[in-house]
Amino acid sequence: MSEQTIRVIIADDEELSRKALKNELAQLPGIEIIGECENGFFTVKEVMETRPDLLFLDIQMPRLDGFDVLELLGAEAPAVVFVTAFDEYAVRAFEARAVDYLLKPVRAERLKKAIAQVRRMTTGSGLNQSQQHLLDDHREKQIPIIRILVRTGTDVQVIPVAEISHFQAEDDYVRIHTQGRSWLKSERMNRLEQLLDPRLFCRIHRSFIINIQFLKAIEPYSKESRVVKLNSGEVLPVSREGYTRLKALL
Amino acid sequence: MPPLFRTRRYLLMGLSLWMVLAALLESIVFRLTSLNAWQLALWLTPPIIVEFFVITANWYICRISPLQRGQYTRVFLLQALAASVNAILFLGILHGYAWFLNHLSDSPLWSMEAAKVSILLVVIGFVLYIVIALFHYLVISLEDRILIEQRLLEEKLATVQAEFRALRNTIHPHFLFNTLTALSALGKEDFPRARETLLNLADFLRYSLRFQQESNVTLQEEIDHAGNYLSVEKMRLGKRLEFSFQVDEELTTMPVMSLTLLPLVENAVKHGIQSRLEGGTIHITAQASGDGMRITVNNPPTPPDTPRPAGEGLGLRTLERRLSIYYQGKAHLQINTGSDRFTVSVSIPIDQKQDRTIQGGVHE
Repeated sequence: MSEQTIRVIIADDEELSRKALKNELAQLPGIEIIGECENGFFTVKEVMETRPDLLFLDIQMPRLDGFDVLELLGAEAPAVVFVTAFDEYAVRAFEARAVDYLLKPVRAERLKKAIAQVRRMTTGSGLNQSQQHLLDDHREKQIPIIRILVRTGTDVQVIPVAEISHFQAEDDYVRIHTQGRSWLKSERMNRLEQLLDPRLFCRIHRSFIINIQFLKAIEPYSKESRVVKLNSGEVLPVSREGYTRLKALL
Repeated sequence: MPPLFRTRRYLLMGLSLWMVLAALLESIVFRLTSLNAWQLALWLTPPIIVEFFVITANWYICRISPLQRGQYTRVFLLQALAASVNAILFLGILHGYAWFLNHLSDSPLWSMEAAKVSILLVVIGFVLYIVIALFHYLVISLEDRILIEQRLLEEKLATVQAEFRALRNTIHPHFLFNTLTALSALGKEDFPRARETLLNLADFLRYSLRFQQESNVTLQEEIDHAGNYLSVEKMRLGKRLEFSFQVDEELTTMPVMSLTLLPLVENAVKHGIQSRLEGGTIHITAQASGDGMRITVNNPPTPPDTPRPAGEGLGLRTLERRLSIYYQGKAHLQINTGSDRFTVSVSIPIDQKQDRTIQGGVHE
């Protein structure tokens, strides 16, 4: 994209902050601002719909912060330049594979450099899974997590973990089950197990983690094996290690 | 624990001293009785060792009856009683042991000789006990003084730490840099408003930098400070931030600890406004309440599925600590988490003395 026009989206919850960046970008040639977003939900939607080349992403935003947005976009993220008022996030931003990060207020020369950096790149900075996990590992997340973010197309769903009855492994994905609905998310069971509250969630099988709040009964299946019944009526297999863990928890 | 038992060294020193006293006692008794040195050592040494442990137990009596003004007679009588009991016990042990030795050696020698020095032994038992009691009181008073000094130092340290923390937290870099960014954009399109905000920011910074933990300001100054802060934040957050003040007129000249209100308002903006997509309204009230006043800041709650950032609640905890030091435990910070509103109230006493000087100033 050497001399092509770069299509840009600015995501920042403060209007004046977006304006400040817009004013500076207006001075530079070959930039087209195709969208402005005031929160993470709109940003994910807008990026998925308009597929910009570059996303200026503020880190501190309500409900979904910049890192959440990047996580949700996953492999479909465009080139990302983080914009933040204070540089405590800078290192993490780089580890999250941002092309660059800018400190507010942004200087014109610094912005020019970031754009040049973007032009040098031949592809977007879409995250592969291991990079995304690297990003997650470096975030000061509250553990155990209290919510899970899922993107379906352009839609973002915030699922409180208390509403999740169980997780089911499906290849590189995890299916998240709540009462009456389910979502797919690119995630590993092992990592998920570490993020969840061990007093509430139990890995009963290589492919299943259940929320014990939704556990109805444990029943024998054959001579050696058992199954659990959930409130929803679903029946899931329990491995031997899983049964030991479940007994310890109950 | 009695001081002599606290370390092995003290115990050894105490026992050595005791042995010297025992030797002295034995040399006196040697002159008054017809027992030879070996017999004497055999008879006196075990009871003297027992007496060492009995007498050090006096520590506990000293601990429960400290030397306080108005208590001297009581303490003296108690210690004299204990000393008498000790003396009689000492004598009893010596006689009992003599009786035991009589049986072993099949001769009445021990008891006969013991009877000769009974009065002396009682007196010595009594005097030794009193000496040890005095020693214990000396140790207690030294320890108390060290404890008091330590507590004073700890308090001083806590004050300095609280001040440092409050000072460091006065101006948040995020706030400052975001404000400067917003000003850089606003300056271009609405210069008068940018200038107005800049002046508010200048006042805000001046007040924050003037801050000292010990200093007293009026409620009005605190209200103005919070107002400057909120109007600067309003420029950034726009429609997402609304706020209202409701302050009892007669309270505005009252003294309060400096930077009492700002942490409450910052907390409200951070958790009640910035964390919400739609923002909300912050209500700030100050009302007379009992002998003091109650300052309340009320805002919408953080959405429940928002992950808690590290260091959450630090601002309020620091404020609580500063209040407890400044008002010596007479101020209260109360957090009320409702499902639709989050409220923090601070109740502080009004110092009558300071109040009068300021009121006087106003009336003149």
